[in-house]
Amino acid sequence: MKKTLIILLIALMVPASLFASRAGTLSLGLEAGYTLGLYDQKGGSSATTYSPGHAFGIGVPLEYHFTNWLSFASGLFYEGRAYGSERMYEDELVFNLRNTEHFFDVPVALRLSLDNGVVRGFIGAGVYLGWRFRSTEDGKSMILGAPENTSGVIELNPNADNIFDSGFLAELGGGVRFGNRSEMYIAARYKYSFTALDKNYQDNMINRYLDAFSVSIGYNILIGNGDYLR
Amino acid sequence: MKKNITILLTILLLLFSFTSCRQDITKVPPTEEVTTYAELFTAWWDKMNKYYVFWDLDSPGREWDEVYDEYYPLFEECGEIEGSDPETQAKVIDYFYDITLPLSDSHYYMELNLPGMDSIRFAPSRVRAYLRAGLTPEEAKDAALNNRGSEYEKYVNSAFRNENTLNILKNVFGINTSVSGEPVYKPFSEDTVREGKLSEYFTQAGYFITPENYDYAVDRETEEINSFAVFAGITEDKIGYLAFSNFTFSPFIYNAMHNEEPVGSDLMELCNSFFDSVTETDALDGVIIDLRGNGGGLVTDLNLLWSSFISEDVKIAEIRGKKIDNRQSYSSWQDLAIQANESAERNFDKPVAVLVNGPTASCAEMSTLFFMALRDNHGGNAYVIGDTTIGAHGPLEELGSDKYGSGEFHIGDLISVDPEIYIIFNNTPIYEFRGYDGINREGVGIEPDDPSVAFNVQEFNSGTDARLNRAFEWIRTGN
Repeated sequence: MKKTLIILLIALMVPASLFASRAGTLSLGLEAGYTLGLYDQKGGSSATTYSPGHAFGIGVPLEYHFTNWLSFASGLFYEGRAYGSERMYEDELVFNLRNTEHFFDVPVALRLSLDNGVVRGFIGAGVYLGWRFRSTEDGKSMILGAPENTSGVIELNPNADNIFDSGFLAELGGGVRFGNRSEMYIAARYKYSFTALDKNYQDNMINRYLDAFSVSIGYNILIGNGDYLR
Repeated sequence: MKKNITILLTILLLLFSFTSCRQDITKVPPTEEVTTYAELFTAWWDKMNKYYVFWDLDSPGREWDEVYDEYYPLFEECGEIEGSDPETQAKVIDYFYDITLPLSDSHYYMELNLPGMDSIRFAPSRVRAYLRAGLTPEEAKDAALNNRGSEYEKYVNSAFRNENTLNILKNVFGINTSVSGEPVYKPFSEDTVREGKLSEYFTQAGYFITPENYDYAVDRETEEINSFAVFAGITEDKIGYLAFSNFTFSPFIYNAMHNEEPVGSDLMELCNSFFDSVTETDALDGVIIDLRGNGGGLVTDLNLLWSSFISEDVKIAEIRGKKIDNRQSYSSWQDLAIQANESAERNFDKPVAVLVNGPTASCAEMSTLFFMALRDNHGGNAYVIGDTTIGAHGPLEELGSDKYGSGEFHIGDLISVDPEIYIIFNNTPIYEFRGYDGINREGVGIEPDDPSVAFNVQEFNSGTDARLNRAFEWIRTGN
């Protein structure tokens, strides 16, 4: 394991400029991964406690190389951002729920890469735009005095719920190229939402935000006339 | 490389700076240590924000904020609570009356206990009933705030006051409903129908009536009920009839099962006699469920009473609570279903006539929805006769806001006897409720299938119950 890491580091340290320019190449792929939702609430009752929640994401990434080291990354992604909420009253469970907000996201990021033609490391930053199309919860709730398994869809109200989301995106990843037209990669991303889950529809508004940390594995294929090893 | 590091650092700096973009609430939450009317109003307004569940109906936009903006200066003018004169207190009551009047919640009432005056309680649903009966808004306000409903008897819907279980038993069936001391119990039998005018209707009957303000024991703790009357009968042509004043079965049945209390055993015996007939195939050719004047009670009674009618669970409604303190922050809708009786072999598919009227409320309305759902989704045959019900559907729980973050709340110390403590008590449900069909009838009520038979108080008092006769007619003829 240690040996592999050393080889990877040495490979990354080989100056990318030794290789021919890949400016103008476009890749399209498929990726899936794990998402950790991070809930942040400003104000409100302290009777409910919140915890990070587990979900998954899947997407079609797109990457366009301006130069050998600078590229534009985007795509279309589904991402579940979940969080846990629990409320107790005098040692009695009122609810313990996993809440999941379901988004379609379009990230727009600039990506800096360092590679030797076979192995690549990258770091990126940008923004994302999201469309929240579904909100669900599952777990246990006290229904009329008895704990019940709870699973349901929360009605999204266009007057009260922010259907659109936007935020800051940062990413770090690495990939290995197979042949001259494909790459397998792993990426860690952090999304910091600028947009509260609720619209500012009342005085004394309690703002809730949902950030996400994700780790995904994907596979890219060059389309058109591109060639990773050109 | 240096450039890349600079970019990375810039990104990190931006990330940290974004943290400050997230806004905390703009106002400091009001304290309960209120000394002025403005503080009292703010505390109440804020708790309504958090604990009231019908905001999707009552403030889909910023209407509730506009209420605050409009009324805060008026309450501010009223000054300190301590030492306020009756004229100021009357203004305060007026303001709260005007603010609460448009609320859809038909369970809602506010109780105000201001210093130096008797506590006052008013409910928007009661005012709606007055208005529906033809009172002007001024008369309705006078009736509600000054407890002078009886002075408007000539206007007030006579069914609202008279058409209820005890009066049906007394006027129509000739049963003596004046009970004192211990409850009166007459077993379900042919002997009971010799009493009053019962033989004109039934071949077997039984009833159970408690005195007013009857104390009953639940696990050694005594609770009081205003009055509780249950009547069950079967006619010669196998039509079952069940009427009861409210939903207070569970504590008695619990006692019967756990403590062997004679009172609970009596009621359980009566219920078993009737519901065994429901479960038994071909024992009944139809049933009349009389919910007129029934103001509801314990939700646990719903399964107890109606499970005999079904061999599969029947969804009657959906309920949802609040997730956080914002007005429109709701949980998902959860199904509320009547659980099937394991011994029932089929859903009851004979005709069921459900009698309702204006005061039919809460569990009684949920029961009406059960029979409607049985008809619409499970092969039943139900028909609702009478008047539009009150539209009070959400389930209540004592001081539910502490537990659920929604429902009943108070401002000030409710149990204190200190007259210096200023109180608002606010009665409101923990869940929003909509029918099995997705229709929210809160504040609107359930419209009967047959509203054609008007209530005539003179006829009713002399023993003719036109709506009951209509129910028998529908079951016997199918029209």
